[in-house]
Amino acid sequence: MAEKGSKATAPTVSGKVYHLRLEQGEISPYVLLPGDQGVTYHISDIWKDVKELAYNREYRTVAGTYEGITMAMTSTGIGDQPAEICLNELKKVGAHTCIKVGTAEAIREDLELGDIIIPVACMRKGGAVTHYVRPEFPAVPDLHMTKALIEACEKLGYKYTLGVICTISSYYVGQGRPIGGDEKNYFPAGNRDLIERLQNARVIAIDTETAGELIMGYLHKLKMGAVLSVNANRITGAWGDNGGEEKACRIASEAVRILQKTVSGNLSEQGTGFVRI
Amino acid sequence: MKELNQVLDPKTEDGRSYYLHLKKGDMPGYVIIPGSPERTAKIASNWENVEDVAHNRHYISKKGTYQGMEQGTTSTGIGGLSAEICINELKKAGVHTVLRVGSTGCIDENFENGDLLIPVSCISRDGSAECYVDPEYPSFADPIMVMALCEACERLGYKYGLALEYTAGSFYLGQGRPLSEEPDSYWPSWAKDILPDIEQMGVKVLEMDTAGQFVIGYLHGVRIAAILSVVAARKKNNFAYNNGEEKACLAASEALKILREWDDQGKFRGNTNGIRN
Repeated sequence: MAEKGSKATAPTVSGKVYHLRLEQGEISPYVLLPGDQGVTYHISDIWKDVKELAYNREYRTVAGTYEGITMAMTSTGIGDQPAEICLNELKKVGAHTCIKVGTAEAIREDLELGDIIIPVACMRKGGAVTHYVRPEFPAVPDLHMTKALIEACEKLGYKYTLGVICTISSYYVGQGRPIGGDEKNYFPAGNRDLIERLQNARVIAIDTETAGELIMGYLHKLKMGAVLSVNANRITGAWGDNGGEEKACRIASEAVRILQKTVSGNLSEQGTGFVRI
Repeated sequence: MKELNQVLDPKTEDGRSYYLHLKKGDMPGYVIIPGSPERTAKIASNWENVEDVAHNRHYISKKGTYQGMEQGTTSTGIGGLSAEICINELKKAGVHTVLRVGSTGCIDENFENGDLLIPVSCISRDGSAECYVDPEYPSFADPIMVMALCEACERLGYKYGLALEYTAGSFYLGQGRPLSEEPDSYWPSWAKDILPDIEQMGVKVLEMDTAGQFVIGYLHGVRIAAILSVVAARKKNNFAYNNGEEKACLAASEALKILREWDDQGKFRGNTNGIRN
């Protein structure tokens, strides 16, 4: 049988979406989104019956069960652009709820390695999202999701911090890292004092994806949230995972369990009338 | 600590703030901020022991007790600039929590004139936030205050929705209203796209104040959220009050009471330090 035709505007390979290599209905509609493929292997410490569904480029998708509930995980790669592709194709194969599980660099002294941040809103610099909306479009998670993530942290006994983070589409110069030790290297003033300016604007951490994923997820009509662990502190110079990745994955899995339990749930416990944005 | 002098922090001859005419401690910590000066009377009509605190220009301040809880109200006037002055001087008077009560246009046919919408986040084109911070800085409501507002509406039996809000620093052209019926009145090609474009982005409500207040309030370190009553159903081109203003005023007082209870219980405290002072 000849290969099924594929549109240039929505390419497929043997009926599977072009980059993720998944087909409609193949995965749970609840998907965790780490940047790093490595997390899709580590998740077997938390989930049962983990199996690989697809692996192409930086996109590795696995399925598994947490507390008896089936969920999926797809790695997005680094930055908004591969994440844009990932969100678009996940939506096409039936995902409706996505949680970014990632890392962030704290810019406040009291946030320690492995601490959990639940972003309530994000500032952003650059990224694929600049092709979607104007700069003033706000990057915020779904409020139900925030509530579920808070509840998950409380159930698991993890300390967490709600706050504003800044997503920056450059790891080195954009995040205030000199190119090298040579003072003549390109390093404009605005990047040198970046951390100080963000602190002054009440930002608590920086990362490379969350803002764009929240907005693009929203525009794809996905319920989106994010839970991040501190893997560096730019004030103290501390560096390391310190169990943060595993905590973030447990919180996200628990939040999916909570969300599944309250599918049509209202924001507050009782009553009706809640309308999702 | 920054040293402020008469030019940087102007005072009246008797030591009150320049525009609002308030001294530290004149107002309770929890304040409702309508745009319209007249609405301060509607807010106070739900209270006992009402006192007039100050009145200068369009800034009217009153305080009273709502079901035993002390609350204040100060009118902001129209637009981000006027509200910036109000928020700055309220903060200096000791206010830590402000709740905007406003009226709004609505482009979602599920909501009628008189229904209540609670903005979760905003597209900020108000013109004042941009004097404070980069355009990509998010404009968002304090999520705990949003939860308190939802709870208040449910207790009072009011229909409400959560909304992405669009703030234009313009009532007429900026909100897609032709300047007049004259064929040669200014009407650039993009003006007709304003409403369809924001509808594409999932915006439900549009007005003139909220986004800038959220950004400026957050950067001042005050907690801020808003509740808006629909007065202009833009899809049906109807304009009517339908008691929405009165409902929003009562829901605001109820929400502050709920929030005060949560604050006293220590609910969410210690975990929201990223979005608190």
